[in-house]
Amino acid sequence: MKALLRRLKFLLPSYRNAQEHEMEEELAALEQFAPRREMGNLTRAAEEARAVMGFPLLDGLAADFRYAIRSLRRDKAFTAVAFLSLSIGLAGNIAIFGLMDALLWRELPIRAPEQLVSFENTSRSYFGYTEFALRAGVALEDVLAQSDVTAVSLSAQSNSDQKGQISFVSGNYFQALGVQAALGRTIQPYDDDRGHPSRVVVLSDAYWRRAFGAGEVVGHALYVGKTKFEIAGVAVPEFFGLSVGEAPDVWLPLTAYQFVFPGSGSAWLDGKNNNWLEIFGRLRSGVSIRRAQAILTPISVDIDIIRSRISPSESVRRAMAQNAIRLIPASKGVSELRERFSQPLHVIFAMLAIGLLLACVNVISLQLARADESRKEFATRLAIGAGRWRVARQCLTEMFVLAAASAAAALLLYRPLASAVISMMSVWGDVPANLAVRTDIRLAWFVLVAGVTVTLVCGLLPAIYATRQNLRAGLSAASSAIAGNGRGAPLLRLAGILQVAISLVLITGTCLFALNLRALRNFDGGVRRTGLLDVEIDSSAGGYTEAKAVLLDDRLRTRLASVAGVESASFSENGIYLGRNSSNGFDVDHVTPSATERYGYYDYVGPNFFHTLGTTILAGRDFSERDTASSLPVVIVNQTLAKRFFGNESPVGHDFYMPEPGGRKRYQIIGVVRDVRDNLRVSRLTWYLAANQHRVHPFSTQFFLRIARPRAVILPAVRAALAEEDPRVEIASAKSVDELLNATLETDRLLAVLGWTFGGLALLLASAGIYGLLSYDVARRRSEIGIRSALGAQRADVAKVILYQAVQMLGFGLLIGGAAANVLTRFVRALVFQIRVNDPRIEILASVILILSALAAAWFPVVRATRVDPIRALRAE
Amino acid sequence: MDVVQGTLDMLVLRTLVFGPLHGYGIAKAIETGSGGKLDIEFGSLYPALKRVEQKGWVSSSWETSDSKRRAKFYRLTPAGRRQLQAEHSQWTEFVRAVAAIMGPLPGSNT
Repeated sequence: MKALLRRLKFLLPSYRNAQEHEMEEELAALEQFAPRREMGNLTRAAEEARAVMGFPLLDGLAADFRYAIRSLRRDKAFTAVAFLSLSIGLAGNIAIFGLMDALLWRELPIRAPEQLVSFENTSRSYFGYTEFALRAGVALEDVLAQSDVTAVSLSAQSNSDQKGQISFVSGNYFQALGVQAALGRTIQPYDDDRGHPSRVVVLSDAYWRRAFGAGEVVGHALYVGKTKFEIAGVAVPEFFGLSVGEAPDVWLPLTAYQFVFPGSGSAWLDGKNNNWLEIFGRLRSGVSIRRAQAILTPISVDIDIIRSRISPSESVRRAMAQNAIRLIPASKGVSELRERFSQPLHVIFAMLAIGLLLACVNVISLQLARADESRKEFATRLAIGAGRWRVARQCLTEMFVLAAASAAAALLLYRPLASAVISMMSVWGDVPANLAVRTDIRLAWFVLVAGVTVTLVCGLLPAIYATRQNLRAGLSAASSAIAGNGRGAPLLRLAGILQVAISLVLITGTCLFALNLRALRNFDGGVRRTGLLDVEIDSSAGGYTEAKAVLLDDRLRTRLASVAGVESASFSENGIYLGRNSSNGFDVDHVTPSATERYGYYDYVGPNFFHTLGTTILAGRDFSERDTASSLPVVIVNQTLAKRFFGNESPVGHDFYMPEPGGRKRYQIIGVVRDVRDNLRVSRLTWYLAANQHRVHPFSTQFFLRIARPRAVILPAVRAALAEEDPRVEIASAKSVDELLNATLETDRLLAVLGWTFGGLALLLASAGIYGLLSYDVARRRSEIGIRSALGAQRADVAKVILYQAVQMLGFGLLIGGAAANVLTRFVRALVFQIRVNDPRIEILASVILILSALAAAWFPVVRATRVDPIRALRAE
Repeated sequence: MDVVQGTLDMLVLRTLVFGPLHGYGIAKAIETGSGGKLDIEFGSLYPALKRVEQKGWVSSSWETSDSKRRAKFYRLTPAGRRQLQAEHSQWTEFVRAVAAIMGPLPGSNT
């Protein structure tokens, strides 16, 4: 006990200094009279005595740290380069890790998230939700529903153009999830009553802070759309809903839908085929997913039968039951973003990890070069009795200090980086991704592991190298040119080769994603994308009845088509590239055996729709003014549907059936059009119905204008034309289809932009590495070069010698990197479409870029080598 | 001959039984006491000295030697005396046990 206390005391600098002094004095006194020969190595004796008195490890560490900081400060160029490359590399990795954790791995902040399941991936109607809520009690404790987020005007004042994201949720939503209100109360079951709906909203913590400055809000008014609601409360900060990335600003009860969208809300609540809800359930304890599915399937079949108003035969019923309901564990929530960005994020993470590796290799080669220069110092320290382990530990400590400083800088940098990446993602159309990257224990662990890995990767090799040095060679000929071809050179060259190889992998990735984006930019999405304007028109203030609103759309279309500069105009309910869709089952009178899936997407569109979009009509005709409520119901199908169900036959003239509130309705196929799609990956079965034959009006209409003049000239004219027709009708938004289509390419853009960034950094790092290595080589071989030129070598010969090194490193590096890139690019095949991933041109392009920059980097050292003055070089020896 | 591992501390305590000595004096005392067989370099003795001091078995003070030189002298503390007692009996047992096994080798005439 006392002994431990005494040892602890030794950690105090004052006590320690006194003891040191005492020891020095004692040894000095003994040296006065004891014969030198018998005393032995006193430095070593003192060192070992120190170990006995204190904590040698701690002491040593403290000394190591002091020494590391001193030597890092002395070698400013090395420190700056290593610190910069490591902190940038770490920051990127931390940012993407945080993002992936938030998007892919984190559990929802709700009660018992492991019990939560979501109902397959297709959405359901309000009717479907209420049926499940009523009848699924055996399997599910609670059934709850939420709508996708929608952008509407949201403000404490009645007339404001501030937009916000809202989501409608079932009355039991907050209760069932165990989510509390931080202020006031949450939405309760009695708010969500079809008979007596309440006009209440719950705010998200973020919106409450942003819009209300975290002030008093409970009981205050909030205008959603044009309707006044009462604020019931604010949800707890960590809760963002069940869709990761969508985070609404405000939650409303489902039945409030009719208040927010007065024109059509009731129809959406009552229409059995309006699928706008995602349904979740909480499994009863002891009920497996499989069993719950078996219990829910008959309910689902009943709902489908009621929906489609058919009375099916037993065989049809059995066939419907085959299409069993699927439940998916939802402990991590559901996410459209997750599906789209999971793969790209993994690829980016891999690229970043490779980038960090490159930074490490760079640091290693710098360290090796340094170690070579400081050979003399190491040799001296070894000679005076410092243990090899101590010298190795010194190297590692230095690296640890560097890594820790870089990690600290990275922690400051990663948030803006993550935000920049998130800002390039959107859920769809005008709904930006809303993800919170949190600094928590998981992130801390990641930083720690990354930091230690960097320390070991960068520090171990130079540490071993430093201790393995030949003492005598180090002391006598540390900087001698003739003996200069030391052991560092092969290791250094290896580091150079690795740098080139890793850079080639990264640059190949960059070229791949960049070419992919270029290819996708030319992707037309099935329409003539330039000169096409999408104008969303809000007629809800007009107070139109449904039937009159349908007529209004066609009147507006005729009016807009006559505006000067507008070549053609049409409209549709869901528009294109906005992520909005309606879906339903269908049937055709002619089915090829392979076509079993009879579920697809549809839209109501106006006359001349495809003509206006510039979509090729492959067979039959476009919709026209003659397709009215009194004429034969008609449908146009897309190429995918036609191919799947009719093969090479023309579908024109065949019958098409769709379940509708009045029962199964028959349409005649009048045309086939090219697929209009927002991405290359998916082709959906799609059909188009004539809006003018339809009685129900959508809550918003997208008008399409084929324009021959700039949009800035057209829009005022359009506004004037609308005002003439009805001053209460407003333009809600106007976008060019070109921009919309570009927006749908964001995963590809994200990859390309990040790819460019990392590729550029990789190129910079590799060039810096090659420059550093060759510079070091020239410095080391100064006198060799001096002798060569003294013996009559020409400048070209000298340049050749140095260039040979560069070419050798490049050659081997390109070979290894090429092989690695060949293997690695296979993993990204699913992400690129227009180009073959193993197209040799990509690797050749990448190699050429790398060679050019490497040669540029080699230029300065080579020039320096040719200017070596033989006399000076030799005299320096 | 080298000192058997772990016995150096005991030897240091033993030499101090006769009175205080300085570091070099201890080394000398062990050498002469062993009839010159144990040649201990001061460099290896010094850490052992510090170790026993750390454990509280010896204490030290600056004194002037017979030859009028100032040096640091070490003396045995009561705790050190007890420790020496314990180690001494352990050591004799150990030596006896080893000697019992290491009897004359069979086939040798000595």
